[in-house]
Amino acid sequence: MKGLNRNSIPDLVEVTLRVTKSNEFDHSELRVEMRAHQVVLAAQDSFEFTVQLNRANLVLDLDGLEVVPRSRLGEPVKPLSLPVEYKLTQEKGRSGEVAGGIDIGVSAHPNISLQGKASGSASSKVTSSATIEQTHAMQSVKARGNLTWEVTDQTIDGSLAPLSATYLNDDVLCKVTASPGANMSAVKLSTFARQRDLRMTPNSAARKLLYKSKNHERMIQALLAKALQHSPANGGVITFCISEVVVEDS
Amino acid sequence: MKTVDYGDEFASPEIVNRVASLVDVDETNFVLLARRLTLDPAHDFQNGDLRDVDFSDCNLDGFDFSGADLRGATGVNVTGKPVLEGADVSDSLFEYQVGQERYFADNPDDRETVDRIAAEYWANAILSVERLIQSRADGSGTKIAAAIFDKTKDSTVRTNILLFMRLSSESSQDHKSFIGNMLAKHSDDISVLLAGVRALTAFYASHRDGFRWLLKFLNHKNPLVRSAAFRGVVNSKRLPEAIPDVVKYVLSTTQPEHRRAFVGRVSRLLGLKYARAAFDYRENRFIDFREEITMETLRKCDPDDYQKFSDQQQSELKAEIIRQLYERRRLAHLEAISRQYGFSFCYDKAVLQFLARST
Repeated sequence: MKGLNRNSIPDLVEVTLRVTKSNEFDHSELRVEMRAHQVVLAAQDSFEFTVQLNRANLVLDLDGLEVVPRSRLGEPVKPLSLPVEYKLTQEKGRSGEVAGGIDIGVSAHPNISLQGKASGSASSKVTSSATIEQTHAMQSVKARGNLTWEVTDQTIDGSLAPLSATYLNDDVLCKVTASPGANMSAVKLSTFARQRDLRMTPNSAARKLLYKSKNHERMIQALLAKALQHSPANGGVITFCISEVVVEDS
Repeated sequence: MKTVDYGDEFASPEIVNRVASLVDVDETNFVLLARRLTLDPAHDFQNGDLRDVDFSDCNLDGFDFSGADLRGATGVNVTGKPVLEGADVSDSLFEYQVGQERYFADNPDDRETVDRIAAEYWANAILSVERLIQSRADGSGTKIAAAIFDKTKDSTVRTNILLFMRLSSESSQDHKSFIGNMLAKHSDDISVLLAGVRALTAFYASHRDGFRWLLKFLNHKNPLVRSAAFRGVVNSKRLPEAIPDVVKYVLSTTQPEHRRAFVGRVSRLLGLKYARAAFDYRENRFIDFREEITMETLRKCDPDDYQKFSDQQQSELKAEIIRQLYERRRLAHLEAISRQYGFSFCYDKAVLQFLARST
């Protein structure tokens, strides 16, 4: 079943929802596509601001449906135990002078004294190192409480890159099943971002002439965020996409 | 098939074009800017990015910063009570206020203690605060002392509380956020202000938030406050982050020791040879860039450095030539310091003539 998908700024973020039948009896799959990139806001002719998202949130509102346990995409499950790898390396080497034709091979003994025509000393070096490795998967889409998913694009150093990719490609966000006694079933998926999760990058003219202080910069960001809201102020939360599907019994 | 959208204009052009009106606006006051841009204080800053905003001279009654990111926000003479529900106030002037509200909501009895001590005669109040801080091992004494500081009007009590708190604070963050709040709210009391700035200088000049506070006070109308703030700034590890602000101060200050301190600090940042060039070996202090450098100043130098330089020159060069080469090099280093940091040294006529002959 395809939904009614409304995206106020599809170039910035576009979400589509459809509901399909699952292989399991009485389960349906909520399949979502989500793409994000950027838009440019122009203030008069010379000032431009590139708007991107640092973080987006998808929130599900179910009517007459329940989420099937363990079916949510991107559950950041913490394992009960964490494997740790410990490595110990030992090196033995030898240095010394060699005289004449005596060959000296590496010995298992750390200290070797050479007699006769050869002179020198052998020494060994022992090093040890310990390595603790922990594999950490970088998840773009993380399931959170209250039927919400958080979408971010984390870099290796932990900072957030602006969203600029396809994060859900008809993936199953979760599976749902009808609530007992429900006489209708509907799904509503909203995609929103908080004002502080917008990244506004000015062009050089704007940066030079408008960003005179941090206060100017923050004020401009607040103003541009307000410009992106199509509905009256909603506490600094901007909803970009709404998808609705009425799930029919088959 | 395209997804449905609201049409060609996804952003209100009327609102976006208000941005352009800021070209002619140098005003930085947060409240005045909001008014200028017709932003609604009750709604338009919720969940906003307000990091590092300066709220100086603002009355924030009616502002709702719920969910906003207020990290690093500072300000002096800040009044009013904004809504801070769910806001991130770490390292900001609000951190203290939020922490106190939470504490007294959980410990209402301590609020009575605050009221009682704040009403006492000043000498008794100081003793009570000292006893309180010492008797409460869990650090709650510090929170109560801070609340007494807010409530009392006696500057002697306040100054003493500030000292006690440093000795007893569990973490520097608690003490810092208290000082930040104090500076924001009591900026009309110079004695309290000075105590706060000196505390920042002594303990927190290299902390990000402490440094930002001190920078603000470089522009204070009271010269004692400016001087105390400068001492902190110039000795801070963060000085390189704020060179333009500090240069602006040293160019306008009437205190030669500040100019010398600045020259010493920035020359050291560039390296030992620059520091040697900027040091006046006759007076045994760094050069004041407003005082004319004479040939005598130029000639008096670090003997080891001169010897090292001399040893590196060709042996057939005469001593006088080597001397001139050294002096020229020293002048080049001074010029490099000037260029790097945006101020100029003064030279007397003889040095200028020497420079002209050298080029």
